[in-house]
Amino acid sequence: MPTGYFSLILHAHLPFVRHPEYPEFLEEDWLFEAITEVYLPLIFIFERLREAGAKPRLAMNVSPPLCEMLSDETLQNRYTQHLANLLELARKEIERVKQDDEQFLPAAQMYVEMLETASHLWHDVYRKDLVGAFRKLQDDGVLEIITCGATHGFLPLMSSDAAKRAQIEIAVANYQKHFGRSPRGIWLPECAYEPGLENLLAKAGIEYFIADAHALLYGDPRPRYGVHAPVRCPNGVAVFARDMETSQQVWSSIVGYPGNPVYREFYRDIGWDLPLDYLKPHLHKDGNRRHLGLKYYRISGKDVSQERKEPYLPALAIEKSAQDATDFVYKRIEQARTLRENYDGRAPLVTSPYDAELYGHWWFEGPQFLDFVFRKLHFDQTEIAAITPGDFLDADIPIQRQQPSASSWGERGYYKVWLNEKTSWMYPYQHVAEERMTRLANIYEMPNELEYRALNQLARELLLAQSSDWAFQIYQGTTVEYASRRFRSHIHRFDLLAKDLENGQINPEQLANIESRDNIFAEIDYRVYRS
Amino acid sequence: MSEKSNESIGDIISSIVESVGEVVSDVIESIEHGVEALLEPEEDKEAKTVKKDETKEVDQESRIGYLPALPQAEEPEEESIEPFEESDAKSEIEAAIAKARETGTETIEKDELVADSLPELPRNNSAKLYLQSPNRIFLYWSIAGNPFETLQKAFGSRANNYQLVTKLINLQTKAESFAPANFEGSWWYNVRSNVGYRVDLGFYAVNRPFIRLLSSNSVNTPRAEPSPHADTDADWVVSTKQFVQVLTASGYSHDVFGVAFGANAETGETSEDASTLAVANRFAPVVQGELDLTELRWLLVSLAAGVPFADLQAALSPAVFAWLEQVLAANPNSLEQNNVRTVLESIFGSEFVEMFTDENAIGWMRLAPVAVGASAIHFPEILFPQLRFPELRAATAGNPFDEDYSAGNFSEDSSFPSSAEFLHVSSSEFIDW
Repeated sequence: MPTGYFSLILHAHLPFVRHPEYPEFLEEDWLFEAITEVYLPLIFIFERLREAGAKPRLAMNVSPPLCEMLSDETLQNRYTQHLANLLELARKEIERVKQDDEQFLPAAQMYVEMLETASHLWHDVYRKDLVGAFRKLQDDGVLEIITCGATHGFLPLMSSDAAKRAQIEIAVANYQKHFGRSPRGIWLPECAYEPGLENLLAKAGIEYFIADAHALLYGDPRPRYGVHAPVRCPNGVAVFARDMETSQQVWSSIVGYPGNPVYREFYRDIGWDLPLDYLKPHLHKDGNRRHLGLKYYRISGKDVSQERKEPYLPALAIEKSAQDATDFVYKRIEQARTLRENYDGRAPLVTSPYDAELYGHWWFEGPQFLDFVFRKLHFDQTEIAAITPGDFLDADIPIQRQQPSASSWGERGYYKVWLNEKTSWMYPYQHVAEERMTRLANIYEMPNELEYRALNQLARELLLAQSSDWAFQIYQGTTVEYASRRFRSHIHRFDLLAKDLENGQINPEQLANIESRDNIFAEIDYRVYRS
Repeated sequence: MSEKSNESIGDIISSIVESVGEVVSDVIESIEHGVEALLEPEEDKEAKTVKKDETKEVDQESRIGYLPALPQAEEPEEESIEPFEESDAKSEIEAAIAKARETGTETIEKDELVADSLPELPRNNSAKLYLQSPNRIFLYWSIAGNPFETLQKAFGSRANNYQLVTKLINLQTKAESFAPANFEGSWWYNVRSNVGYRVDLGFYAVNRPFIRLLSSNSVNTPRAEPSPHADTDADWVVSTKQFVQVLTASGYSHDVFGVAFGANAETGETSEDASTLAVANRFAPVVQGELDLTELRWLLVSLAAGVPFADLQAALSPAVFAWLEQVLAANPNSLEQNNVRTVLESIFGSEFVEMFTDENAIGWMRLAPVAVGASAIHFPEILFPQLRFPELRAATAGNPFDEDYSAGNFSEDSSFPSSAEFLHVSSSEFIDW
């Protein structure tokens, strides 16, 4: 019997970004960078751990938009070109730094090795099918893959149960398509919960969801074991809530591991540092500088300016990640012992949800850290058992009943990031589209083929408009123009198609054009919107 | 393929203006209105550069941003843009336009599936209320047609006494607060946590029943603190002292004090209000019902945490301020931090007061919220006097602890009735449209 349990939960999600109408598109780089820096390394590491007998065990959400993008042939081909381009640049860099900047040679060599490995995995091992690779990890007992909202829509800010239900049921159907089984759990988009959502989840066959800490701590009645045990909603759906200690250790820019001086600095990228003429063959055709993913500096210190950063030394960083992994596991043991004393001998469960993109993209050494963590958990100690939420439920450990509190994991813990003065304008349009979708779904009981296609495409446009990523980006001020344009365009396409449908004059050419661009969820059925 | 549209010369000019940038836009406008061309002052250019670097520093510290933190398109090198000379600006633009007119056969393709604007929203009778946080809700509404016309038909010139308003209703206390409204619009309301609300839209006139046009959905604001209820099942029952440990272990020690008020070392488990009264009476007599105990509780929390009284003074209600005058008259030093802590310790024991000691200063470190990847992460702010202290307004602007003070969203129009004037209109006196 372990002293305590540890459940790592990774949330892998990107908004659906696919622009076949252009030969290349800047925002598609989000996916390509994540494949290179996050998904390929994580898959590889989990496989190696399994082969080494380390029995890693964790839950991971691979969101429906991410599954669809990873399975899309156009994006796969574009990633292939992206990877080849980057590898070519990395090889050129070896020659350049040997001559001009030898201090960066270890880092340059590391990138070549990393990209050559990525290329081998992409082409030869996984054959461009990363969803299949994730599926295999699940089938082999490493991952418990959970689902998410269909397009990561912020459920509490939708106007109807039909709209919320559609996000959930379309996600479940998409999961079944990609993974060949039904999902047990769901990562509610933004961990956004409101009382009553559990009823929609139960109808879709979902057994549990992930929430922020105060969903339980402010729930009613008081949770006996705080966030260190799940609760069940009145209808039986279980809730696993975030442990703050492990969050702080990894997320915090002040005290977290990723801020260590020897780790790679994100913002010193050769895409901004080297001469434009040298980089031009490797940039997009617009010739604009951008992050290329080849970075030669380390953080160096909290108050060290970008100009004074020191060269990145991979060997130092790997050693540090091993130390941090040791520290992390040690702290889990200490934490479990202390909690167990407080909890009358009951083994606590530490639930640690993170964005998957933290491991590899924002924190370059993250995947290596996880590799060391799971090796230490398996080989160096016996007090902490790595499990998944599904494993906990299967163990038939008694679980308290509670009505959780409305919450999210966004800034300030509620819905402010998505509903605020910068984003409130979006919701009237979204809600009108939601109501219109349900109305049309109810009206069209026996559509002809063209109407059926139009109705399904309406559903796609609505889902894409509902993506919480747009409001998030607008609020954060990161890619405001792109996010606003995406939202407006999906509402616009929805309106175009709806008018054509209502007037009985569907334009087949226009419909085909829209279908070819917004081709998410080939399996979609508009009837999910019926009330 | 999408349809291509031939654009008029006017559209071509607009495209040129857009591509050259804001300065040119100003110049064009100047030409049109016969105003002198404007040049961007040098200090503004410098300010923009500094701001961009600062943004980058902030991003580095907090890792805010999506995946990746995509930069803006690189601003062109300064030397690649020739600044307009004041005397040349007008002539250059005129020349550019003239040249564009000469190439009028050129067409510009527009992607009709990419929208610069949104479709028109239908005007229908609808009011939707949404939660932002335990203390803030958002309403937007739309009223079809012009109901004033019907009102005028019904009442003639007396219809002018009516004003279209939103009425925020506290579903627990039935208290109401009003704000002027147009036929469509939106409001933000500051409200109480753990309460149900609804908004009605309708016509208001002094001493007349409210004429309700439509109602919004109801919203229940969540609790902003732990529930006061422990489980009654023996397997899950947790005492207040145990729950304090649970909160600390869960990283929510800032809620501990509020929970601790529910436990009285002298009398056993008591209500939060009773504990507050027990503490307050140690300073000066308090009769239950005379003071708002929530306000009092957080005043005591803030003083114990070392927030200077001078910082709190301006935000207190008249009743609490009067009580404090009694306290200070008896003992001018009674509100000093050490004295407040001594009182708390005598009632709750040292373990609850220990969190205020300097040794636990690290616990007061405010963890900055971090936004990484697809989501922003919420961290509890351990400096709970700031976290928990309610939005207090100056006493003269109305007691914020009276019902549902909708701060900052009301019209400043002095002709609008004050709270006192409409208080006599009970919620039962209304007419459905």
